[in-house]
Amino acid sequence: MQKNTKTLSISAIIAIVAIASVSLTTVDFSSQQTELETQETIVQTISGSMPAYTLEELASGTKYAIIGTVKQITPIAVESERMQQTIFSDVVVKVKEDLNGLYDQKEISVRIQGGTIDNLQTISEPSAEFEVGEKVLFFVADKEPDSMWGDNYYVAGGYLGKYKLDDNGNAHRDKINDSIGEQDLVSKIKKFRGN
Amino acid sequence: MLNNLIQYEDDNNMNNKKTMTSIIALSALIVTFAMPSAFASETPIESYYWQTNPETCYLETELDDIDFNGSRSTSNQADIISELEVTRSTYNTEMGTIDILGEDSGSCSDTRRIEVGAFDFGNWWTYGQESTASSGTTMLRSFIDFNTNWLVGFDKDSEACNRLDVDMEWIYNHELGHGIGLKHHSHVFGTADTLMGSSCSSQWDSFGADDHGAVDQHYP
Repeated sequence: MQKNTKTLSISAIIAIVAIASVSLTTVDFSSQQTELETQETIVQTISGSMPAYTLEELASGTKYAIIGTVKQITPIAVESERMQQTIFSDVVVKVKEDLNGLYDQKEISVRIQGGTIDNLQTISEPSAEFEVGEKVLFFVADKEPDSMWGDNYYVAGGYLGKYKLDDNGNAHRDKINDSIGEQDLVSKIKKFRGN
Repeated sequence: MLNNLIQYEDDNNMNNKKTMTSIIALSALIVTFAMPSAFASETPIESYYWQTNPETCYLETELDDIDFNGSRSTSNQADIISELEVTRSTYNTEMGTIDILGEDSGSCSDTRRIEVGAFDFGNWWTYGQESTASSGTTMLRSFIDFNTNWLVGFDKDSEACNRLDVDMEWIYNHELGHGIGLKHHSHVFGTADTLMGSSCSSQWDSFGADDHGAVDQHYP
């Protein structure tokens, strides 16, 4: 009788421990989930209606046409009364050449929409995208301090105004999936700029 | 002695039973309260071309509060608002009993709304843009803003999408689609009858067949 009771007790304890373990694991999982929910990333998705800027418009109307290599990308949170907080990124590019011959600094910093800081991520459809180490050609809009760009240069025409240069001599615009020979592109830009 | 032993065994059995009953009761409590929260299912992600789970409570705009303080401020605010009203009317027709307007919509959270206005996005940027803040699959807030640098071209019903001659109603039709939760249609279907194509065209003039279907599905 005592043995039976002992066996029963041990079995019961094992069963209880097993159930409790599963339950506590799930409780822990729930609390982790709750924690994740409270820290969940807020994603701000920006879509825009971009004018169909032509190469001629970009080449003839913008301040600089820079060829260079992306050196650094730094996200920055910008507050505005209208848009609340938005993440932009400051992209520093080591300048190889300004096709207009006007920019005389070794580096240029341009601001783009999009980036992540802590649990706020901004994804901008109209914005050009950059990667560190990437060789690029892009059109630079002059500073417009009253605009959302503040006292910063920005990429004119967003994704239409930036080309990625590959090692095979081609220039690509990823978001519209087009491609042109780099030399051909440079020649056209210089021609439109009147160089 | 025997009696004592029997009594001890009985007491022991009774204690065991009490202990087991307590443990089982405790386990039952743990299982009852812990398990459901652990296995609660997440909100399903919509399969159509919605970017987030829309809810009717989000539908609130502030047409009266548009701020035209861009670098090329314009005095044609009445014309612009009349254009926006055409879009509002279009959406209200499509969305049955839901009225997209600037009045408070009762139980809606103040943060869950669509706001419409204008902003200086710069000379080399979009005609307008829509910004949706989401947490997971839930839309929190939407801003639709027109670029004040382009508003000089928004003062008439131009029925066009050319530079400096853009139909504001077309832009608003499209951006408000994002505001109620629609992605660009081409991300899913390619060419289709929709105002949610990614490039401005005459299709942005009115709801397409796919838009009717999508709105009917989510705002019955």
